[in-house]
Amino acid sequence: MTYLAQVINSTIREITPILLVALCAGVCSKVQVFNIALEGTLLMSAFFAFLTHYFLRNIFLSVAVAMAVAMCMTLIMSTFIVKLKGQPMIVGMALNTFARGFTTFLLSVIFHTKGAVNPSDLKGLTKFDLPVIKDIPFLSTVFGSLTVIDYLAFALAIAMFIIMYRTVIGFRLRALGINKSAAGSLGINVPRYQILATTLSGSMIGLAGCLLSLGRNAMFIQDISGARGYVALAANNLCKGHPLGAMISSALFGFTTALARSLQGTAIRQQLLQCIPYIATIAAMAFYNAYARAKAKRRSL
Amino acid sequence: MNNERNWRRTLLGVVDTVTQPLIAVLISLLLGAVVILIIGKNPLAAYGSMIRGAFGKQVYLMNTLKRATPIIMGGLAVCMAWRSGYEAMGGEGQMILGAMAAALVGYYLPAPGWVRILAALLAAAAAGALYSTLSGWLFERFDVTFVISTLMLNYIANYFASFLCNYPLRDPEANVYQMQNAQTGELPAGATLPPIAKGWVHWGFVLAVIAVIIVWFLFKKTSFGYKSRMGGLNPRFALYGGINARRMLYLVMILSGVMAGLGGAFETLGSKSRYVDQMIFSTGYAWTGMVAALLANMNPIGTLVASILLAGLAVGSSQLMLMDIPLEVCNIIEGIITLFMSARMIRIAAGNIRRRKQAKGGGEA
Repeated sequence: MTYLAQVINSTIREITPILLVALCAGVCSKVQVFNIALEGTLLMSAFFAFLTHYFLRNIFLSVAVAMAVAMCMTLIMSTFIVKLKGQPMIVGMALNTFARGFTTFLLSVIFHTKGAVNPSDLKGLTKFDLPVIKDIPFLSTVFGSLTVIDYLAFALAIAMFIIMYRTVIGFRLRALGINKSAAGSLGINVPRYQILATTLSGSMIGLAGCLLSLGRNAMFIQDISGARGYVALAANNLCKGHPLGAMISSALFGFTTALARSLQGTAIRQQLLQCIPYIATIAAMAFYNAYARAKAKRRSL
Repeated sequence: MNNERNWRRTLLGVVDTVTQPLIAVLISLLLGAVVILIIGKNPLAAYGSMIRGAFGKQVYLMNTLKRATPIIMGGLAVCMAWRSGYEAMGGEGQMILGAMAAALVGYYLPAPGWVRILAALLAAAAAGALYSTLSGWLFERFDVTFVISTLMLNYIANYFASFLCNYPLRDPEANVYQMQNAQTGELPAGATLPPIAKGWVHWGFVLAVIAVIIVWFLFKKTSFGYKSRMGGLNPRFALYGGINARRMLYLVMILSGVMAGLGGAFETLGSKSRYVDQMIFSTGYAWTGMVAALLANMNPIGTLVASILLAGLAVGSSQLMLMDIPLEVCNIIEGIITLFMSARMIRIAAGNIRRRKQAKGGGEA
């Protein structure tokens, strides 16, 4: 029973970073900016969250810095795509390459290592225990030692749904995504909206970065983002940019990752287990698209 | 008159294609210099030792060419797919499986040396093609976009190859030190691609150059090149012109996979003589190949040149270790070059100037 609770707990912790990144990806895809720099942005913000915390020992400041760094990266990304007409895929890959090089570079300049930095005296994000639930045996493990950002992620998903589907700004953003020139003719400054929307949503990647480097203990490992940015991209693709759907699709990936981790130490080799989330991603997309295609076919008959 | 205008247009075209990379390289070198300055080192000395370390001596130059070999093949794979409008990034996974297949066949096939080499190359090409076809099939049958399927398949391939060389195929004799990555058995002496001459780069480089010429020929001189390009530029027109899009998709993906797979095989047979865990993943050959193809705007011959330069950047930056500068400077520079190559800066600037001129002319009239 406690084992099950632990699996659920680790699933939740795997979900939240992916969910936050997927929410940003959702906004980007709604305004027609294809953002594949998610991975690099996540890596950079995780690194700078750690760095700020290491030197200044201030958790609020490090969250703020991570958000700022993520917004800077997203601003560069969207400026190059929207204003300078760069090809989205290339801009994204360039930023990912840069982020990988830059973080490893600083890691070896500052900490003289290329592996992991794990200072034992540095505490991570403050854990937040829910008042009533912490006394109930099973649920206390399920919701145990989650941070504020973990809860915030789900709240943000709901908030994003309200913003995107129940407000004028959200309506404009979606209109812009559906037909750029029509939105332009209604007096919406399309490039400005695109850049603003992507940059602001980039702050959510900053939160995800904090979860990665400060979520449990404060530590940084080279390539700590571990393809989560790409997985979030797939998660967003699966839910077609809907914030509430993002909760479900990132739950799928969070679950498979947690499953792979909980199977460690069994007869199946670790390297094969690590394939599971990626295979699940492809399989989920294939199944979903096949289902959608069949449904469309039935409707047209 | 007409001739003169044509000539001028060609010249402008050349200036256009050359200035963009030049500006991108300049900006990235400048920003790289800033980074080096910040950590308190001399950027000019650093760049000097990088250039010397990449092209200064025969040994260094050969190292650069050796490193360029898989990069060229990865670049060709990207040229192949992207020109046809399929933005696949699966070169890495295909290269990993190609390298693994070559290591396997080269090690276990009981045959004389050259047969082993040939079989290993064939196996690598087949492995790359199959893996590439898989992503093509996922796209065609299930609408799984190339970006996502290929990115995921890259990780799957790397973990799978890592599993193979850690457990079933691990060479028990090597790997005495715990720190070393796991590896498969070493190929016998006759079963590796030999150097062209003593102290020279291995034959894989020559094969890569031949591949460049073949791809160039395919693009320029055959109907396949025309058809694949049409499919990329305007799929509807291609359909109207009677081009079977489905067949083109698979053909393009197979060829692209063959290139990437062979790239992995050259690395195994030419330089490592075995599959070492993470040997393709950590070096980022496929990504660098992609950057090279982008710099060259999907031109195979340009890709060759860009690959050699980027390989030089990586080989040269290992000299920076002596100056206490982390070699990741080369990744930073590579990223910035790509970023600024992506922007249509020149064309946008030219467009702005033209528009301003027109506005002025309109005002006068």
